[in-house]
Amino acid sequence: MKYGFILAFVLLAIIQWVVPGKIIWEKDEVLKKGESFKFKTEPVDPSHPFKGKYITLNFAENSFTDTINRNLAGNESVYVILGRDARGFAIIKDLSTRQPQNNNYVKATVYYASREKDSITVHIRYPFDEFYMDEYKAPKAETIYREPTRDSSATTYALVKIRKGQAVIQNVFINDIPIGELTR
Amino acid sequence: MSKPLLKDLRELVTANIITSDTADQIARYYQSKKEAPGEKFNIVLGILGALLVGFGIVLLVAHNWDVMPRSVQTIFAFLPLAAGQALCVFTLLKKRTNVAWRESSSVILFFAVASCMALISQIYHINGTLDGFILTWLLLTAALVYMMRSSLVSLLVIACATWYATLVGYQNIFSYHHTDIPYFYLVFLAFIGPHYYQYFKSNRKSNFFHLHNWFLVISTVIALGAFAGKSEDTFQWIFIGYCSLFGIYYLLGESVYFEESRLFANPFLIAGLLGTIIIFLFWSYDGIWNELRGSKENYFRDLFQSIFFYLSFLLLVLHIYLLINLSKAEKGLYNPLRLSVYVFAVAVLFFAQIPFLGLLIMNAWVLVTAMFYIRKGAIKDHLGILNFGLLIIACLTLLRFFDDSIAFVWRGLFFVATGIGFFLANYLILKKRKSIS
Repeated sequence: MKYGFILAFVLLAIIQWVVPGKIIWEKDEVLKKGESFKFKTEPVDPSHPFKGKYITLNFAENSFTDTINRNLAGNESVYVILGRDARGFAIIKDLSTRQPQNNNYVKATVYYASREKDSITVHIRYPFDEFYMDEYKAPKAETIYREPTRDSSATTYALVKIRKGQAVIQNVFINDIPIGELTR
Repeated sequence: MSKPLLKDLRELVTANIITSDTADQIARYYQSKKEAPGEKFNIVLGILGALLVGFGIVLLVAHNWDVMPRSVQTIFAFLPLAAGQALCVFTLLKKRTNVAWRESSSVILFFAVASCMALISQIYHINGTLDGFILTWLLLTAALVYMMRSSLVSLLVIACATWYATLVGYQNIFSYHHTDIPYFYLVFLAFIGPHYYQYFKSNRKSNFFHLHNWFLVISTVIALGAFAGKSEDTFQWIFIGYCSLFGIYYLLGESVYFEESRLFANPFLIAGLLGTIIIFLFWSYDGIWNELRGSKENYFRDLFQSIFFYLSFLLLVLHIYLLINLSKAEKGLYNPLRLSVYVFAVAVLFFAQIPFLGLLIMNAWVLVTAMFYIRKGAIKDHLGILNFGLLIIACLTLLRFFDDSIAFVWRGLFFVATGIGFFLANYLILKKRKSIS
């Protein structure tokens, strides 16, 4: 009986290591082998009771309009196929309900879809809109972001590594300077 | 053993009321009943220490030490987890019978899992809802309740499951987003069931049993509404559901299982009684009845689609079952409060279109309840029970003070009558006591 308890506990302990370990392995693979995309964004500062302070990233490229009716509704999963514009920032090239063959896509969630005359706009939520920071730096980050907005040429973007639908934020930049350095 | 008891025993021996042998036997009996005080103190200290360390680790992690390299942060993520697991293994091997060790090491591991998950999420900026975080956390730790035989983890699971239910069920209640049903809450409650039953069966005097009772009562009262979703059209069923839950608690609180418990060790009775009276007082206003008026389109379709309707119905059936079983063992004064849920259900379901009758039933039932307690207090010669009955009337009176639909004269007379009732009832009881003494 005693060894039964110990065996069961060892099993639980292994699961407690495997679950976060699997996440680390997957995310490291994305960071090592993934392709980098720059997503234009604006940071806002909320808080999580366990994970701490973070900035929510409101991405500029968060909707896609075309004439195809994919019958997408809120909270459904969708594959977002990505490309780059002339300045090198990420743009949505297409949406698909089936897993694409190439690497440059991310699995996102439909926020809502709106129909106009002969086009349908699908608004999406990316699975990488939280950037965790030091508790003193996160509120400063939002303030710093508000300052350069007076200068229309300033850009804030998140550098995101993407691989086979998985995504990991590498860093957030304001005018090519990491936001962590600006908040020191 | 307490000094006053020893002194009393010596006095009784000196006065030749009991023999010195009997005094020794009494002394030995109380000595054997008493737990070693040091052990209990150690358990409390161990639990408090582990809780504080656990919360401390979570808060330290939440600071976010982003100046450290990712590899160092990852090591720190697994460090508390490894320490917690090592403590648990040591406890299982060497301190299996020591409650303080079992509880403390389990609690440290419980929080270490949360800190590990939080740190990994920080390092890789993994987004996700708080309810998702709590769900994963509980799935990874709930088994500790049985593996480590930890009652504190069991209480933490109940508390966190309630938090989860609140986040899932209530979060979007006032927004246009849809609300989800927190089914996992029921799974965790069912999971805790056997652990609670062990206490119920064989250790009903334990502090952990009382704590479980309080946690379960508060948790279910909070979480029940989370299953209602946004079923605005069937909102009387939400109250029927709550009234059934309070009714069940009242029956349990009154049952033989809690008969000998002190009032504060009987949360079922407290919640059942106060909850039912509050619902009746709430429905003694005409505003809520006007909401019910007018036929609603698709009422039955909405009703049968609502999970809460089935949940309320289930609670109602459970209430009937308990009532029948309790009535068999009925002794003395019949308690009308046991029937409150049926009176309430009939009033809101059948008199929804006749608010005047519904209001009359609600107000009358509050008065019946109050009268029952006044009478019970008088029969038992218990001022507390008697004044509780009077307090119910006073609450009803106070609420009517703001009710514009009743003329000032009637409200005034009602107030004066309640005040006189208070004086008179207490005076009569005290007079009766004096004459007896």
